Amino acid sequence: MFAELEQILLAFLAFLLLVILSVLVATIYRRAAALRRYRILDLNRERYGKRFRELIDEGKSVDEFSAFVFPSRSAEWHAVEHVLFGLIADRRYESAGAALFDKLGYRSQYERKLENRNIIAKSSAVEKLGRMRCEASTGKLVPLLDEKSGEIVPVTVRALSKIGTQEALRGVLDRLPDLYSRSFVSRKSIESSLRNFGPAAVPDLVRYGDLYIDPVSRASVLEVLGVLGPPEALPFAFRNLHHEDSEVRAKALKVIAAAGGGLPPGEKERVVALLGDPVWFVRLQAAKALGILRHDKAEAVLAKRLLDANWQVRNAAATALVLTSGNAIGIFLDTLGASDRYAKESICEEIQKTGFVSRLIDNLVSPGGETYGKSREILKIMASLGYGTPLREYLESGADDRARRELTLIVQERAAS
Amino acid sequence: MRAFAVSLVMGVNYFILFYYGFVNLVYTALLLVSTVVILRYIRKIRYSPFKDFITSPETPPVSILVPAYNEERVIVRTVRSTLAVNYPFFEVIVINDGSTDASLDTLIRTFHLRKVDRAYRNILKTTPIRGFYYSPDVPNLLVVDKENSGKADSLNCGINVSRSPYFCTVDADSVLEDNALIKLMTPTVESPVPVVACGGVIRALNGIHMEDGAVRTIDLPRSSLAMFQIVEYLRAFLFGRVGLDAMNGILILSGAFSLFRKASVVEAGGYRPKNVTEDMELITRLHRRAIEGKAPYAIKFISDPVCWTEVPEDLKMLGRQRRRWHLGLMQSIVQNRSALFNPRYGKFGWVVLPYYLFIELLSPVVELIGYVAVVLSYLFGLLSLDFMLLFLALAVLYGIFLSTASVFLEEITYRRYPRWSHLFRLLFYGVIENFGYRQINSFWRCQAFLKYLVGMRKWEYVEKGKGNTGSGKNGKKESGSP
Repeated sequence: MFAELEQILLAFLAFLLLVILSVLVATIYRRAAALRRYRILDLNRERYGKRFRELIDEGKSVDEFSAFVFPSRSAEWHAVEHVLFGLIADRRYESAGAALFDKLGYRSQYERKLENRNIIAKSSAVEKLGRMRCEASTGKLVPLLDEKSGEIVPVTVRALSKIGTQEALRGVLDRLPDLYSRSFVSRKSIESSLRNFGPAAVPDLVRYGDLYIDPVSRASVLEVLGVLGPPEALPFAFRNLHHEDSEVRAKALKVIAAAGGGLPPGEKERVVALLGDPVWFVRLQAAKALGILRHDKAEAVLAKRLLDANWQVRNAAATALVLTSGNAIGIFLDTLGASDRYAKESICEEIQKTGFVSRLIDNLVSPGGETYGKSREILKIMASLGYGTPLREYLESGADDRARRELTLIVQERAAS
Repeated sequence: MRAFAVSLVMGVNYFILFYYGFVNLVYTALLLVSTVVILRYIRKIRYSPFKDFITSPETPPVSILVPAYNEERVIVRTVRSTLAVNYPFFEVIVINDGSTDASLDTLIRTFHLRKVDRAYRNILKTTPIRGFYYSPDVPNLLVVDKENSGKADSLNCGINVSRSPYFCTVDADSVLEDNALIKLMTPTVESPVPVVACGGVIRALNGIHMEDGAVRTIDLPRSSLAMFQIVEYLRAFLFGRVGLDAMNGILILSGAFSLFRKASVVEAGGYRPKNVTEDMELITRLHRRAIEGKAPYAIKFISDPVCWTEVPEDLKMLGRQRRRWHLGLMQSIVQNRSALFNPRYGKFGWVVLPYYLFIELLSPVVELIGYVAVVLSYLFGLLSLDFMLLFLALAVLYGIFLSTASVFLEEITYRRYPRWSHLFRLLFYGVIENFGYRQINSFWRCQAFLKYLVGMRKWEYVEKGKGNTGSGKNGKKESGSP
């Protein structure tokens, strides 16, 4: 029995030794093969890159490039493909590059690969067609959105967004609720891709957004519109301000904020109403929007939000007040008298971050008056809460002697207390 | 009595034989799975959208947390490298953990920082903050100066200060590759299942030439000890973790370079300062919480994004590091013993934890028992020299196979070490690490095991690189086991 066991062990050892040697040889061979392949690729890339640009500059038509049709797996094929991707990235050669992809057989080759059963090969082909901006392939790519593969669907969405045609956009928007319900692609991926379609996509986004019952799809469309920031999306955003889904409301506010100022006061009032929304991120977006819209009649409601339970809302309200309110000093002073330490700290932080503290220090130059008194009081509270760095900095290097004297007194009072 | 002892030794011999057969079978399975997964991943990278995400406003903001204690020699380099990453929205938060050297002054001087006041929300309780430093010239850099309390507490402080939905931890002696963060975030953003944590690859910085905080040329170190660790890291990152990741079974993501979803970490209570490997403990807790909450989740390991970090170049420091890692593993498993073979935790309780317990944790102990069994077998006249040599050759050859296979995997995938001499040196060290280096590693791990049993569970201070100091009272410095 032991003799047999010894034989088995010896055989296994020999096998293991053989495997190790094979691994060693394969590693070395792989390195040599890769080096050779990349050397040839680099040479060809350089040669064809130069030649293609010369020919296009000479005004040659794409039909005259037939000498550059190579077998699909050859080093030349890959080199030419690389050169063509370089060309379409260059505005000057963009259209010639796109036409050459077609002429030299790249489109047909990758379209054939769409039939491949191997998901990675298929996804790779989809990605290539997208990068080639092959408009003619849109019809073949759109049906791939219906595939049940978490690999192919995101790549297809991205590829279609790179092609950027209306047909491609509608292909995605037609299936948006379905794409989300099947969970084959993340929201970020889709939103990022939809943004690639650019401002031309806005009418379709609005039209489809109105049709979606599913709040996720509607919020997604609003998110994209919020990034693109078109004024023509405003009516759609206002239609969704009171949507039952909180995310839709928040995203609608983002669209309104992105569209910027210039809204009639009545419309701004509709935004103010959302400062009282029960959901914190809706209040946050409302405060941010009001900061951008510069609606001075919102100050009383914004002042209430300085004591919001959520710190992001408090900070956004403080920023909005600094940007919009002529009476920010009074409001800050009133709120700094509140007992909530976090709220007070948020205000002090925002006063520093927004540069409002410089205005407060400047107000010390003319003693007497209400503004002087309030500014002094706020600075005193800031110092007592540990937000005295701007005061100390001004004492070290500030320009105005009167302000420095006042700040010295504030610091001394603080030390004495 | 003798008959009983002989039977016992025979029994132990059979157990060890069975155990090593099983362990090697598991490793082979991991290697096969990893090879398939990594080759697929390499092909998938070609159509990865990470370049689109670099310029996309949809890419989530990230806070890069850099805890630092007495890192004046390297901190500027690290901060520069993190500031140079290709990522649309990120902030770098350096947490100076009460350094006693000139780390803070160096940062203030180099980046023209000014003390600023900032609201500090002590959501995860930490030691007091001494100040915040900021410069309008580098608006996405914030330095937090706090009282010394160790790495876990510093990271909790960084989480409190962070205002991004994700945070990435980076050790103060590490250098990120420029696309490392976006490559880590892309699968996170793309995943339809919420990714609560995601880790990248750690490689040895020793031997690398740097310029302006970025990797200039890749070279290998002269130190043999560092070379052994490079091969070891390749083995751990290219097949160990990739294989475990395939079944969402990662328990170890290196704290030197990991990305976390902040809300999940805050809900879990942040890092626990009492654990010697706080990163592993956190990952284990995140697994458990997600399973208990019956929420779909993923904890991912991505084999492409690289963070270069210094590895110890002397045996004393390496021994400390390895003891600490093993101690941390033990703590985590003991703390989570209720999940072991618990049906409620599914494959986490039935496969992942048992793997770490029986294969990662106990293997050095079984090895030690094996040596004792050899001596006893010799004394009892049970030992056949031929068999012993054959088994020894088998163990060594199998080790060589795993190491060289890792180098092969590196060669067919990322090929970071470009020169022929690099390849031959890696292969050479892949062979010779099985003669001494692996055994001494097992010895350190056994030491950790014994220390745990006798109650010596404190953090051992590790100093890496020349003149580099370690970390805090608790000895915080490097993190993340390979």
